[in-house]
Amino acid sequence: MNNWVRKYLRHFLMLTPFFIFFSIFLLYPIFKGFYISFFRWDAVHPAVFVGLDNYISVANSSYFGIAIFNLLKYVSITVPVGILLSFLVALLVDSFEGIPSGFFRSTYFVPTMIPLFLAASVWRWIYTPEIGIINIVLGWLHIPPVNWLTDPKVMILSLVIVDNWRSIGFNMVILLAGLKNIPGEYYDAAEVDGANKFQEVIYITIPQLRPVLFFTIAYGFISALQVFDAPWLMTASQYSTYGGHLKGLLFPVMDMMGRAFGNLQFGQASAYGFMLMLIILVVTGILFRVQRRLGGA
Amino acid sequence: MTKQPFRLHVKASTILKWIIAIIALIIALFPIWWVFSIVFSDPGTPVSVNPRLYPSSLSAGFQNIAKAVTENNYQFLRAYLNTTFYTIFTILGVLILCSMAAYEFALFDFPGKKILFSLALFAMMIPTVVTLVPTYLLVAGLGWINTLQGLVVPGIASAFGLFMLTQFFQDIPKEIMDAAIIDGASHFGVYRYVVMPLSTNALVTLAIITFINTWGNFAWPLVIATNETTFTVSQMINRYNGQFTRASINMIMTVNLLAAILPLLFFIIFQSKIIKGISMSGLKG
Amino acid sequence: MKRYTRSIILILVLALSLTACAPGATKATAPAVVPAQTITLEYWVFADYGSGEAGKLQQTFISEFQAANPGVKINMSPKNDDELTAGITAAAASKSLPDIYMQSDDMGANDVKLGALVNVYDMWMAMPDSYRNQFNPAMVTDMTPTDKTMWGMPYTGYSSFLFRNLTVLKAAGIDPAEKVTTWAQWLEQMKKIKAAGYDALPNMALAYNDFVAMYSGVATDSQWGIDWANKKTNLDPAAYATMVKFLMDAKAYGTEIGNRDQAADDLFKSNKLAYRISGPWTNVTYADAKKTSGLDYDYVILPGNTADNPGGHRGDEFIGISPYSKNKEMAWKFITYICDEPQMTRWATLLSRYNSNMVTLSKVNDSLLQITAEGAKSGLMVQPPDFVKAYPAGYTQAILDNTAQIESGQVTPEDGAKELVDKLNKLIQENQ
Repeated sequence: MNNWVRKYLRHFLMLTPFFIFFSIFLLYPIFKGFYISFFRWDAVHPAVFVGLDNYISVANSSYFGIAIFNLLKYVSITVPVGILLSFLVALLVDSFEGIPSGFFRSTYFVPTMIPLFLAASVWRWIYTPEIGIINIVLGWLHIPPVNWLTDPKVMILSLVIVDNWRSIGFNMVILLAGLKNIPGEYYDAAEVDGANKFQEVIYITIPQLRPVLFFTIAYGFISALQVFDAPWLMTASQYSTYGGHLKGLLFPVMDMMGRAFGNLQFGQASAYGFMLMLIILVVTGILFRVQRRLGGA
Repeated sequence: MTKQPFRLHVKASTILKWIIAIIALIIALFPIWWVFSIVFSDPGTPVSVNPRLYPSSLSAGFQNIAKAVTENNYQFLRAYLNTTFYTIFTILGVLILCSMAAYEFALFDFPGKKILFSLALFAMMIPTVVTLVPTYLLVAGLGWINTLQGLVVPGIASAFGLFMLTQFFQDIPKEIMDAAIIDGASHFGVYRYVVMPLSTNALVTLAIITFINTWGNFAWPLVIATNETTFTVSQMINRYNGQFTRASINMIMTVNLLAAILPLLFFIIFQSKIIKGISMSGLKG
Repeated sequence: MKRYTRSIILILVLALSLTACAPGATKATAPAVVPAQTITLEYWVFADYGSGEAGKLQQTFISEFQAANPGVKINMSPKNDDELTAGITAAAASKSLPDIYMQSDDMGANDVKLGALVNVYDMWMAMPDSYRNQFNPAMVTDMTPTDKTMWGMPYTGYSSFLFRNLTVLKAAGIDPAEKVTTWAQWLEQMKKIKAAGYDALPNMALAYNDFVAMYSGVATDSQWGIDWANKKTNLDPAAYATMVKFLMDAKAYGTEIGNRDQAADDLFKSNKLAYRISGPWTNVTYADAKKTSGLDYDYVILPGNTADNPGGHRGDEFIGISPYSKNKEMAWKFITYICDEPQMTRWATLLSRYNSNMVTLSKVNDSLLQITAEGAKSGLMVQPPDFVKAYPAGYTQAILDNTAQIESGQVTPEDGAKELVDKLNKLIQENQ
């Protein structure tokens, strides 16, 4: 027993600071939230036990299906597109040397830094029916104008554009850090062997970048499944009325916020949150399994 | 040494590269430029229709900025100060806690490793709205409402930071670590003298990302920093943002621009240090 | 082993002490133990009431009150609407509500549910008759849902009316002096405007408050809101169908752009859009445009389906006291001070804001104030009845969705109206 302790103590000691704060400020609220999901609670009065009622009523509510459908549609487009574009942009910035490299890196990061309200306002103007910039450009190309924010068929696409505009810089910065860590000798050796740029990327960059790429993909999915800020602002939602025209941009987290602060149904919001968590768990689990299988090679 | 005649070797791929880069630049910066033009225009001019995409009145812009900053005894500047402290301490906390834990998860094995890591990951999958009120009540119970520690402490055990650094630390070459151990370095010493210096890229990146997230965070400060004196920048701009805002669009844009300027400047200044740091870290080449 | 343990402990202690020893500038000024003489009141106000000129006036009121009541300190914190809602909920949960706070009436039901408001009825009745008679009885009744229960002081209010771009009207050959009081007349004008190449009305079916403003033109108070006692909606399907038909007709002469979009505001200022429906706060930007680019505009009461029932929505704001406040009497004293005629008159003069003090309204001669008061007479509240129960989740969204479905032709107005009433009743009955 002593040997075991002595062998592993150093590891646990390094982990302790993180896990103390983690347990108190993250784990405890999560368990409390889970506990609350079985109660009816308005944050003030004593909670009333209702068993699985919250879960059932949320799942049966008319908006639940739409929200989940919107979410899956959104995530399946925005994450692959986003990662691909971020990767290409990271490669682009990496290919510059010196001052241009730093310059482009800063400027491509700007959209991520702008307060979201600003970005949402400007994009709402860009998407304005008839006279917004996009519709004007479509007019030049003799394409009929699109109601980007009120036509349920395209609202998700509009959101994907805004989301990618914002998050490409974010992912790019992380991927760049990873790219800079790849030793130059590998590329030199490949050039000597006669490889072209494309082959270099496939056979050196991507394998070397695997842990970081996996992180960006996994985090991309996890955060896209919890999307809230951008659609909330783009549809000018409030706690009582949200989701946009014909619920084209209704997502689970928006519904949770509405139930929590608009209706003071924190139990329902919690139950909804844990059901969403299950979806995220499944998706992440699939990602990890795929990663492990690819990693074996 | 004979002077070579000046010849411009420009490949087609370079030109293409630059064209794409500049197009991307325009797409990225266009909204900020638009907002800048709005701030520096006379109030009452149309903003989204036939937008004037260049500033038309410098004096109007400075008036707007002055109005926003001097509002209520320079409250905006106090908010800047509050948010700066909030951000810096959060970054410090995140970097220290997450790097120490990531060191273990990335480079060593020990019983319970999978469980603990999964636990941290699991925390990222719970939407914040679920934990907001319980965390708030906990912090309120500690008496930390309207305090700096109330803002900072709940955010420093960042699962995102842990996950990210773990992936980056995996790239540390085992040979260098073993060499250090042979030289007599302790467990913590390897972390401090080998792993951390070699991970400047990742640490700086995490610092930048934490900075952005903290600076723009408004859900948490909203419930914790309820007094105007403790407001963060995001709360200051919320005074003008919102569905039923009665402020003019020029003021709204002014305030948002002010909120964005500081992180922008910070990033630009920090950028040059990053480039220097990268070329000095012994890993590439 | 000892070496790194020490380092870790050192780091932990450092981190904790750094956070604990925050610079004074960021600590709040509310220590637990207060000398008996000093009273500190936390006062939350709407963002626009606490900023700019309005904020300065509030600070003036505060200074005057503090001078007249030595030992009292009032801290004002402006908050936007969403922040106020979430903030009050959180504060109620931790029993740290501000002593005094403003809120809009339609959020009142939630506040009552949270137990976040003091019943001020007794304090109100203790005020002299001369004081109480200053106030609009209808607004006082709004604050008193049941007998002997008053949830706060009615403070200000708003209503919506029609802004008209006179340049566009004249270009379309319309005489601005021509009175338009019915939807039929209004459609005639819209036709002329469209024929002249302009847009008449923006899209009024995208936002809930816009819907109420339009529905108000065809419905009366009894045909709106929720009847909690009988668990049904008061929405009248015939009136609703008429309104949707009108909106569809108007759309042909108008634009797809929403009434609340920035673009609608800009089109109005660029003399391309004839009408905009909004409240007194929009006047600020149009007054600026008048100075900058010579915008020629005026405001009139919103026409209704019939001349006797104009449109427009309205809302009220109130000031309440926290049940956890240790100084409820002093809080009430401050509230009654700022609602008293001299202060309210200064307030109304500055903001042209409709309010609950009738003496003030009779004194202040301001066209904006007058039209707001006029609009409030016939306007519908946004989510009546106030202070009773919060609307079920999805109720307001269901109305907007239904309008959208009718407009897109998926269902006829009459069938759609019936479906809507059924759906709303279902939501009410399922509501806990």
